[in-house]
Amino acid sequence: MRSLNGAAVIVGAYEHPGRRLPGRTLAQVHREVVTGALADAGLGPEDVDGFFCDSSAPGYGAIDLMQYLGLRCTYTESGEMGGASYIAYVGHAAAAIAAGKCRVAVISLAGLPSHRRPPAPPETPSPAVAFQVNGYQGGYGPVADYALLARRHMHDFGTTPEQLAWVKVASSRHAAHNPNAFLTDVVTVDDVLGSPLIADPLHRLDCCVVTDGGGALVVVHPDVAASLGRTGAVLRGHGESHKTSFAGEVDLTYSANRRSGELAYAEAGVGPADIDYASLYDSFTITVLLALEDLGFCERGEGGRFVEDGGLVSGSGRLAVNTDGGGLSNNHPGNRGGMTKVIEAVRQLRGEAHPAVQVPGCRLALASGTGFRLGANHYSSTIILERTA
Amino acid sequence: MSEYYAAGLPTPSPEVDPETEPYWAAAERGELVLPHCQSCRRPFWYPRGFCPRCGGADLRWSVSDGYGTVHTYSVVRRAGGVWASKVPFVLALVTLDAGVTVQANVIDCSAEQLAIGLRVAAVFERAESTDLPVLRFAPLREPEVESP
Ligand SMILES: [Zn+2]
Repeated sequence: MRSLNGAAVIVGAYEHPGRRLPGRTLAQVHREVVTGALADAGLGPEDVDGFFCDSSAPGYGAIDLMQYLGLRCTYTESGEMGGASYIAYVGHAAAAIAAGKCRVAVISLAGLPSHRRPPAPPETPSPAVAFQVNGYQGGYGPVADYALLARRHMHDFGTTPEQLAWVKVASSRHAAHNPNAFLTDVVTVDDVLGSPLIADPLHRLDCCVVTDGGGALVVVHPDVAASLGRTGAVLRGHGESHKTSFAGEVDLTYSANRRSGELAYAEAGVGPADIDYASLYDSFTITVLLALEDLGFCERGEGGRFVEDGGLVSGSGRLAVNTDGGGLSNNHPGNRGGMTKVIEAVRQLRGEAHPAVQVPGCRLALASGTGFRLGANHYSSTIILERTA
Repeated sequence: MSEYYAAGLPTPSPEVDPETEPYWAAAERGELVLPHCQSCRRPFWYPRGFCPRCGGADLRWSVSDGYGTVHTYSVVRRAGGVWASKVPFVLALVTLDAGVTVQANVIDCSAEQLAIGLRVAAVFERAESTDLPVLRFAPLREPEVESP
């Protein structure tokens, strides 16, 4: 098989309802979300033969979680693509299923940033670390890196802080319908612009929430999906890419989403105009703006005009984006947004989003994510999903 | 009164890769050297012992005048760790006249001066004598201003 189009189906998706989980361990949260996703699929732990987690899992990669959960797998991955991991893993699981390496794969994420200290810097630092002492690795977080992008976008294309704020406003209007959302108050453009500047031009409300919790997905062979009799989301296209400040050549006007999107659209045989719903990574408001451009929902430089005046609000806008409230208002568990992006896309395809934000007749959904620093080194993954009959 | 972004930012001391010794030796003298690939005839950033474009190891470490232009910037107003007491400070991408773009702090700069397109020059800073001399940029003073 030379394509992953149709190779696997997401039959289970579960988002932990908690956003502050004092007293829980990471392993417990993994168990809760894996159990929830398997129950959603109508499967049990004995059916699982593929397991995917990221490097933040407790213990030494996947093995300690598989022991804890009582899984017996023939295919595992415990890699690291930051928040893009779980979207990429849908493709990785489909590739493993297509190659006959497993039939029922579980992808799990858990994070407890509210009461666990962030992981220490790697013992063996990046070879660039001596030259990047001022940035992300210097200890003041990713906001400034994304602020560099936002400033340049404003300079090149006339994008305004008000337009960026509209991304947050749309997410808050969606989150108002999500009782589990971390922030459920509808905010205005003025609220965003009135919140403290963290790294100029990004305000506090341009930044995603920091939440505990997690989520899990069950990705299976199409034959398994057919036996379950539950609406699922079949993988139509998958693309991955990365972009670095290669040799010192920096172009902030596009991200690796452009390439991962091209690959996913080509594999699916569709284009942006065919997409009914999009889950776009929203670590910051500028992240969404660039994703809209890179994934072809608007022209380069037009992101600001696309999102303003409620452009991303389901029902009344130009494109329904992040109808769960996204990372900006609902959930960004463990500082990793990709899992919830897939989960809301599955809800939309099943018709199980909140009625106020459900896209009528949603057939094709896109989920896209970026990991690490969009202004410098980052990963991107994009998948396109279709509702099963 | 205008905000001012002063010198005196933290200068950590990560382990130095031996293949970048020419860069650090020059930095100790207050000079910025860039690795130029002799096959590609271009400089690259960040320094390493081979060219990331062609893989070639025939490099010339040549002294740069350190002049560049602010490509984009942010005034950071919330930070943790050793940076917490230094806000507000400036993070920027600076495109050197030699053609590579470098992430660094801009220091000795006022809010009025700070803009995309600002002409800057390389300076090295270190808080402790055991720290690395860290590359930073400061606005060109009037007599120095010249076009690239
Ligand atoms: Zn070369």
